Order: sequence, then C-alpha cells, then structure tokens
Amino acid sequence: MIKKGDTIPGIFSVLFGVLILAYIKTNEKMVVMSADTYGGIGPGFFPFVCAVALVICGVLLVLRGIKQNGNVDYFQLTPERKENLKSVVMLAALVFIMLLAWKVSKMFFLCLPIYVFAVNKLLKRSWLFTILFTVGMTLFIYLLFRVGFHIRFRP
Amino acid sequence: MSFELLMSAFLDLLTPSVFLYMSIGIILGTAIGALPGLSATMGVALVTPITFWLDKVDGFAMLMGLWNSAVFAGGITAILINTPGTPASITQAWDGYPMYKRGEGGLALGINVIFSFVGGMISILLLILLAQPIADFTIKFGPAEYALVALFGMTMMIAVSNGKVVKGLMLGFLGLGLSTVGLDPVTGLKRFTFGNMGLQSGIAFIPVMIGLLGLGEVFYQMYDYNKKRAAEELEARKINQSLGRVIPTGKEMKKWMPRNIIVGLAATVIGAIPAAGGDISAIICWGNSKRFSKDGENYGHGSAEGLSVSSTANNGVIGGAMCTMLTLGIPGDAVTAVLLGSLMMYGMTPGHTMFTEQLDFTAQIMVLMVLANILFLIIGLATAKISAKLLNMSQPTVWAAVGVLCIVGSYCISNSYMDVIIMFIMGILGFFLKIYDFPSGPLVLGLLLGGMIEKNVRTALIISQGDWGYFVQRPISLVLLILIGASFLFPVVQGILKKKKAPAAE
Repeated sequence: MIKKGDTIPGIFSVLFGVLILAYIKTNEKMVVMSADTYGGIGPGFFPFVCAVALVICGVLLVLRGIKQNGNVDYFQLTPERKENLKSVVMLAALVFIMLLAWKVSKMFFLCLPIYVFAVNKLLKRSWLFTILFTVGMTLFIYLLFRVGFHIRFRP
Repeated sequence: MSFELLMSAFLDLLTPSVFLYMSIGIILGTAIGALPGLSATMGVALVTPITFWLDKVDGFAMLMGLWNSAVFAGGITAILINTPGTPASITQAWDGYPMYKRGEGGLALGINVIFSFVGGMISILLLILLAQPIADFTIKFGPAEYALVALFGMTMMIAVSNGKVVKGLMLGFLGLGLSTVGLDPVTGLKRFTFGNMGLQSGIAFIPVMIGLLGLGEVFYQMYDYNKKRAAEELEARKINQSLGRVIPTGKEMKKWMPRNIIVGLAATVIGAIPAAGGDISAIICWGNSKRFSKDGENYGHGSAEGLSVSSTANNGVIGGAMCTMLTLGIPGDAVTAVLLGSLMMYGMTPGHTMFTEQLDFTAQIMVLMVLANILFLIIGLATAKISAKLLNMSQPTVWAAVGVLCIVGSYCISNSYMDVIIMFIMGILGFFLKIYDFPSGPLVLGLLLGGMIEKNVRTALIISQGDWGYFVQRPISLVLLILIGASFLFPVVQGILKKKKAPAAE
C-alpha cells in the first residue's frame, strides 16, 4: 500500500477536491457564476476553481503513481526508520493529549511540564537531563509569556 | 527615499531597547543558523509571535537581527562540519570545509562574516535606492495588476520547484483554497466555517508556517534520524582543530572585493525575483565566478575567493527579497513570506502604502537592516571561534524545545486555541509533504496571496462588469500574463531539453 508512489497523495487530493465541490453544491449561497452577482462570479467561484484543480492534479498524480508501478517508494522503511516512525506517532499523540488535557483542565502550566517530561523520556534522555530540561523550559515559558507578556493560556 | 528621512529614522532607532532586541535576535539567529536542521525561516516563524507583544520597532529589530545573522550562520556548520546549516550554505561547505581541514578554519569563519556583511550591505543599499521608484511605478497598478502580480509570485514558486510542477500546482491551489476559509471579501458570506467562530476570520498564516516549518520539520527529522550518522557528526563537532587567524589581510580583501561587489549586485537582483532564494543565488554566483576567475580551478577545493563569493551571494538576496515584498507585497523567499504575514498582522499593507502612509516605518525597517548587518559583523567576528562550541547541542534537545515553542508561539499570536489546532494539523501535513517530496512553498504562498488574488480579481471584474478581457486590455497586466505563461512553460521546455540531451549524451 505504502509503495504506491504518488498514488496516495493523488487520491487524497481528489477526495479533498470532491469534498469542496460537495460543499459548494449543497450550499446554495456558494454561487460560482451568475449574471446576478457582482462581476459575474460569486463566493463559490474561487473554491470551485481550487477544487477542480485539486481533482485534476490528484488524477495526474494517481496516473503517475500507476505508471511508477511500485518503483518509487517514498516510505523507505528500514528497521531504524520503523522505530523512528513509532516515535513520531508517539510524539504526535503526546501533542494531541497535551492539547486535549489543556482544553479540558484549562491549566496550561500543569499540562506543559508533564508534556515536556514525557517528550524527553520518549527521546530517551537521562532522568537528570529530563528533569532539568522540564523545569528550565517551563520556567522560561512562564517567565517570558505569562509574567513578561501577560498571556493567559486559556483554551 | 531622502537622506533626511533615513537620518531621522536612524536617530529614532537609537534607543537601548532597539539594540537589546536586535542583539537578542542576532544571538538567536546565530544559534539557529549554526544548528543543522534549524533554518532562518523556522527561526523567524517561531520568534514572530513573540514580537507581537513588543513595540513594533523593537519587534522588527529582533526579526531583522535574527534573519540577517541566521543566513550568515548557516555557513558556520558548512565550514566546520561540512553540513550546510541552510540550503543556501551548500557552496560554502565546498570551499569552507577544505579550508578548515588545512588549518584555516578561523579565516574561513572570518570570510563568512565579512562577506555576508558585504553582500547584505550592497543589497540594502540597492533596496534603499530602488524601492521608492518601484513603489512609485506601482501607482499605475489596479486590481487586475495586483491580482496578476500575486499570481506571478505563485507561479514562480511552482516553476522553481525542481520538476515537481504538478505537486507544486496542487499545493498552490490547496493554499489558495485554504485562503477562502472565512468571510467572503465581497459579500461577507461565511465559507467553510462550519459554525466555528474561530474560523470566521480565516486561517491565520503564522500558525500554518509554524506547523509546516516547525513541528512538521521536527516530525520529519525524528523519522529520518540515523544514529550512526548523528554520532559521526557529534564526533566531528568535538574535534577542536586549530582555527588560525580570523581576519583576511588588506591585500586579500583588495583582491576579492571587486568580484564580490558584482556578486552582491547580482544576488540582489536574484533575490528580487519571487521564489529565488539564497540557494539559487549562491549556486548561480559561485558557478559563474568559478567560470570567470583566474582561481576558478581551486573553487570547490578550499578557495578563499570562492568562499567569499558564496557568502556575499547568500546575504545579498536579503535586500532584493525585501524590495519585492515592500513594493509589491510579494515575498521574495520563505522568510519574507513570514515577514509579510507579520506586517499584515501589524495592520500594514505591503505595497505602495508602505511608501506613502507608512513611509517612516519603511525607512526604519531599512535602517534596522543596516544596523543588523553592522551588529552581526561585530558580534560575528568577536565570537567566530566560540561559535564552533554552539554546535555541541544534540538534535533531540532541539526537537523538544522547538515542539514546545510551536505550541506556545502559535497560541500567542492572537490567544487562540484554534490556531494551535491549525498548527498541529499543519505539522502532520508538513511531515507527509516532506515524505512524499512535495515543495511546501506554493502552499504557503497560496494561503498568503490567495486573499489578495481573489479580492483583486473580483474587484477587477466588478469594474469591468464581468468582462474577463479587462485583464488583457491593460498593458501591464498583459505583460504579467505573458510572464505567468512563460514561468509555466519554462519547466516544461527545460524538461523537454533535458530529455533530448540525455539520449544524445548516451
């Protein structure tokens, strides 16, 4: 599946374009072209042009992917990269959890050090470094943004 | 722009806060440029949200210091560990690293600082001389011309995307599509907001940049991390080879200067072309200088002259890129795209108004660029030998710090949680774009210029009562249309010629 070269981004492009077209079609105020509108084009014109272009580019990429016939492999997953990919997914999950926890608890300066600590452990840093980095980074953000710029981190 | 105006701007800028923030920017920029994987664009994108909380002059002083120093600092890693800190530093590695290997590392670092300064100053001088006449010419521009200038900026970005025209086009249209989120500029209709108040004002540009270039880059570097290669690089950084003298002799300077003045002028012109950044400038200037120099055969093997040319070409694009941004509102490269976004968020409209209503601030920006160059020359020369120590920071430390700054920075722009969500989504998108070898520039430009294109096309059509012929009836817009067509045809013709040459070579 992953060795399909340009096919996968091509399919996503087509799907995204079709979704925009569906939005325009189902929303009657999104007029594309009409003599009744100012200058002959309406609010839907530019999204329509972009959607059509995304579909065309997507189809071209799918065709190119088929032509590549599995010879182009963007995800060259060596054993090391497989491990790295797991770390990337874990980091993305940590960011997501941090944002969710911030939204629910509304306590940014509680979520931040936990997140920084978890990221450092994910990156296999030593305990001492992790603790020092977590404290240092949290203090830096607190002093610069909360105390210095008076930013209230309210989601 | 009169001398009196520039002097008045200079006197206004003589405040401790300007020098403090500029120095902070220069130190940050030197660190960012010297660390492989961190670019000037990422640095400016991450620091921009902080500057919104400062006085706008202090904020721009910081950004100018960071930008100018990050471009030159990319050469530090190129010279000391043969790893360009930025793509624009690649030719510096070709000459700088062999110099370092033969014990002339200090001189290489000195040349990097001095000729980056020379390139920067020549380009700023040209910016000061030419920006006003270009801005005056834009008075003739109507909505049709502005729409086509923006479109030209986008097509140039796609044209230089190295044979990835379809991918560039796709992302250009995606960016253009994203720019339509929010209120319609003519009717005020809510588009793609799905009842979310946070989306009514559209998708903010800076969180997108932070996501694509910050978090997305962290994800990709983690994915591409090679322990063996990283350990080898770390070992290379630990070697403290003798650096020797830093300052070139008067005779050497006299020998290299005329060539570098020409390179500085050429780099400024290259920088003024939308999408042609420091990397293109460095390769063109270095290649041509090699062809015409008596020392040409030593280029690429540790030629001090070659290194000076690369350094001048690198920083020489800055003034040109600023010229295009300030006069036409089109970013010359990725950093000026972020700066353009910053100017807009400060409530300014790049273009002719920068030379009428905002003339004082425009003069201050230009003087700030001169001051940034002088300051980084002093700081750069004083710390040339210490800068080697900067390299001893491991990549995981950088990733952890950048990740936090991405979250905090994207929130700070307008205290919006939605911006953080957008940054996160763009981070994931940025990762996949890098994996699938997509150029992210067209997406950025599409989002940034989309609003300008749509608003002006629709205004032009309202003026012409729906007549599309309006775009070809006006001489300037016709020339722009031809340029747009040519920029699209260029990669196609180039591809055909390459295919024809390949069998001939076989």
